[in-house]
Amino acid sequence: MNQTAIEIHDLTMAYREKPVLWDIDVEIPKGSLCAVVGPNGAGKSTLLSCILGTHKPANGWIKVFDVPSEQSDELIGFVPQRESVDWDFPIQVLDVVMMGTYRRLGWFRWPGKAQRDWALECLAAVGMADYRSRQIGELSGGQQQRVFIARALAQDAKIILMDEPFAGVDAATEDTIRSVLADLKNDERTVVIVHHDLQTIEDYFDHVLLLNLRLVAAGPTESTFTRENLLRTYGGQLTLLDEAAEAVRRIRSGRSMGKAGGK
Amino acid sequence: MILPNTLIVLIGTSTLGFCCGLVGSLLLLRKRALLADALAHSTLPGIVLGFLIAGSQAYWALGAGALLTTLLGAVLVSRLPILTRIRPDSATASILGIFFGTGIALLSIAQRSGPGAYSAGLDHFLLGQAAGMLQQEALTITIVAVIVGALMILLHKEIMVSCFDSTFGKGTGMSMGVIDLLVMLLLSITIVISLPAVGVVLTAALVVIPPATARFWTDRFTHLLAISALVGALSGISGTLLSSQRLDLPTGPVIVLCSATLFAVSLIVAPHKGLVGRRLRWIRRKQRREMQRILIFLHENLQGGNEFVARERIIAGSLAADSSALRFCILSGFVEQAGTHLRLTPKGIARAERSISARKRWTEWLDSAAEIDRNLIDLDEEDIERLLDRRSMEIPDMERDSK
Amino acid sequence: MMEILLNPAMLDIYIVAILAALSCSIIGVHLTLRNRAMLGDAIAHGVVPGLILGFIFTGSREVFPMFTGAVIAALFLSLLAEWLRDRAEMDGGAALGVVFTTLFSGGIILIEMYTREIDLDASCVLHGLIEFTHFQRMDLFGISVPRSIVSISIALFINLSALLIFWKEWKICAFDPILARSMGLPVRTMERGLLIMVAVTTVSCFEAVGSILVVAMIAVPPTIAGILCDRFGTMMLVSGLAGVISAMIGTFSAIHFVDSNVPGMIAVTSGGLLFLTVIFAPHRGVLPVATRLFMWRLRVAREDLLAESLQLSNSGGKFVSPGLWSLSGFAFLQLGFMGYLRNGTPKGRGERIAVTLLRKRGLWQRFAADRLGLPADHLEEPAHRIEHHLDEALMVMLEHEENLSSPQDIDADQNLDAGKE
Repeated sequence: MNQTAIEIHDLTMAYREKPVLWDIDVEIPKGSLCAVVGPNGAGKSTLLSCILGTHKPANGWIKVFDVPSEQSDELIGFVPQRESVDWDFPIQVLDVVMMGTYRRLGWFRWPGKAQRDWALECLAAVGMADYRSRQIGELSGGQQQRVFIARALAQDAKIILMDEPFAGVDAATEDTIRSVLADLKNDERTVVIVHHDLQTIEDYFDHVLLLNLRLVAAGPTESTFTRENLLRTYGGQLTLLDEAAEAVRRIRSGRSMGKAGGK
Repeated sequence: MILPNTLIVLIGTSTLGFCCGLVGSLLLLRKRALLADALAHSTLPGIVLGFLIAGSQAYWALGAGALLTTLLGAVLVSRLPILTRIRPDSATASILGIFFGTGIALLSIAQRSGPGAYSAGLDHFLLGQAAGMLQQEALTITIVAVIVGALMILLHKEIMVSCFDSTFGKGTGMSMGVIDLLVMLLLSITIVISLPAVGVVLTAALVVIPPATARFWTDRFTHLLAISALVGALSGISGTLLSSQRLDLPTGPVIVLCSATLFAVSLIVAPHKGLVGRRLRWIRRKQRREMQRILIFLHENLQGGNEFVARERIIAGSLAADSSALRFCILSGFVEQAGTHLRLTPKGIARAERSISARKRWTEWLDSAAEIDRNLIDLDEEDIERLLDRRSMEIPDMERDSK
Repeated sequence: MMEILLNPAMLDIYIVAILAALSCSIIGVHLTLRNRAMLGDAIAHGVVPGLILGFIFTGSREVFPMFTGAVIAALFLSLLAEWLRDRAEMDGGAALGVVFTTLFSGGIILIEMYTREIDLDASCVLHGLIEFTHFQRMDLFGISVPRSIVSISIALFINLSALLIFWKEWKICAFDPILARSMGLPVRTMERGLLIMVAVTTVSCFEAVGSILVVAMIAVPPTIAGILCDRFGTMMLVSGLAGVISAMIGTFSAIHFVDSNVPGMIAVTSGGLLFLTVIFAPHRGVLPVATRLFMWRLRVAREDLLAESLQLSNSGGKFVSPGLWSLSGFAFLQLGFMGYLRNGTPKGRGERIAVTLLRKRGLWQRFAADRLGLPADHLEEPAHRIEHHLDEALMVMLEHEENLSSPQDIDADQNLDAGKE
């Protein structure tokens, strides 16, 4: 438990002028089930893609098991947000899971029986072996999530990142995904999940990371997931800040556009 | 010196640009800009069929045929993805290929077996002949442009809702189906009337480029329509005048190049969305952020910054991406240099202290209220001070201060 | 058939058409899966200035300079459109539209300016010169072969080998670029490579068979395959097949039936194939879907009729046969014909069906009320639909659930049921 799986230092991430993450400093211990919580647009998904190494931060660095995140390809599996997947793609469940083996297979080589068996094993681990030859669009939301978890398993990832696996799934599916998560934890894998439902955080996760463009708090759930921290994340004085935001916008536009943007 | 003939062409092309600009904005907002291309191509079989049935190149016959196949194409493009598993993009491309291919096949039949002398001119619909525009054509275009303009003014809020959120529109009882149909009809008519002037491919240009140009200048629906129509009309006029100076240049393509020029200019200089503005803002923010980091690093870690420190250590310690921010610090007089070593000047120390206290206050402020605007979090010390001082003093008048 | 094989000019037309259709339909699958099918059309128009400039700079009508110019134009076009989309935050379609129409206009102006030097008119660009394939020859290792066959074969070879060598990489880049990038695959390089393949294919086919064929073959066969197939590999195969079939039928009909333009007829044929697929495709076709829906409704109507008549005959009510011109009227006729329903009473198998349905209905109503907590007045209607979907396995599960709940509940339910009956 004491080993650090993900270490983020002084991370700032910006798309064009707008910072999406600002000055993040955090460590996530190995084997934890960590929820990333924050309001919409707080940079939760961006944080995941920074850990995954697909986005280059403007400042700071991320290390995964002491390796810079750009070089840690094999270690991290990713379960994408439902909306970002093309569900019409002509691909069957087993093919999706087999993608997890491609990295180790390397260039030029085709997946063979060994990869197939391994993918089936991973599919069975999430209870989806019977669905192996369905087109992925034909599955229900929870089943699709499980297939992508199986793909992360096939990658043999030590860290699994999930972008809102619980969004828009029914209660029964939520239970299934939860039990898969428990298995992952027993396996000593580190799971980082973007999560929206504040009601279930205490039940599901042992670690939380409260995020709102900057890091508000991070640590074990009991000590971190407090009312005070939540207020700091989601904010109380909305009206005052809206006013402040408007003020800054006016200052900015006044400066960049002359008098035109003033009023 | 404008000849009467040129005047007709001028009226025709400018109203055509106006009309295409208006209709095109609706397509752009529905993210279906390339539909215009597909529909323009699907006029061809209609034109040839109209010719084969009427036996002559009568304007109405060709126009009716073209309108018919265009509408058929529009219906197919929108229905195919619903009927079965076809991506909208593939549906558009497939209908384009099939209809245009059919048109070419029919054209070749008409040319080989039909009355050869009469069918010779049909080729011109591929590229158009704006310079040879007839009075009748210019009149038709003007009438259509007036109708389109009037409908846009009358129905602008319904059309806006249908582009932005048609589910909401249905919920409030507006009949979105009728609006969609109307938009498709207007689009098809616009495409058909522009064929003789600019031809199949370039019609798409007139429909796509002006709204894309207008989009750089505004974030408002009505302004987009107006600017787009203006850009369209302007490129029509300038293209016609330019090509009338050199008769050997075809008018249609020159009009398109004119609007492409307007597009390129907007792309670069438009204040908010233009490339130059964006780039400058980005560089400025990045440099300020890094400068702040350097100053704070020197001040906090190195005994108030009085000691000279090696350049590499500063860059590594403050995590600056390159040394340009450091150079900026030196230029602004915050940091002085001796060989490869640097230290803070008194001015720099003051600035660093100011930054640190502003940052501290800012973090406290963020802790107390957290619905953060993205534009807000990464502020300069000046912005922070201005904002927080104003907050504590409760003076709402921004204009005076910002000057 | 023999006539075609014996006539070398005609044979060449067939070969060129088939090769071009095949290479375009393979490339088209890549584009379709990335939602970029319109890129084919854009490139087919946007390469015109490249062709002309290639000619102007070298002053020759040799293949190579024009080919190079066109490929460069194609790359320029797609990269510029991509750049506008990413950097200027434009809609992807609009960016492509702006770029290719502008390039095409530039090309037309170039043609007009240099029209005396180039015997190239716009319609030849569109139609292609497939009819003259046989007469434009070049020497290859001492053998004289039609030029366009060589260039298209090279394009096809590049496409096929790139496809086979990087099979799983293509698949993963198209399906999940984020995963591909996190695995360390050079996604950008692969997308650039794909663009080069598209450009080379488009341009080599373009010269031989015209832009229409390129546009149609990049879009239509992959669309057909997309409706029919659930896997990347089969989609590639079916798309290629559809391309080849369109080419063969199209060329055949253009030469022997209607005396028309060959690429045009190939596009028409592919349109016909697409139409047939949309209507008859086994799983997703309009007709099979409609038939399935109709058969299902008919079954529901039959089962409802049987259940209703059983209930009525048990309670002594009179069964009124439904109006003839309705779905249930048809179902009634069918039941009478099958002997399941005689004189308003279910007989034999019909009775068994009715009994089962009523049992399912009761089970579901109790389950919905107890477990899902639906209010009683909402029960009748949904139960009426759902009961037809319950299969044996689900029924066993429901019964099991029911046995688990407390005996009091069951009693209460039975009383409720009895009261209803």
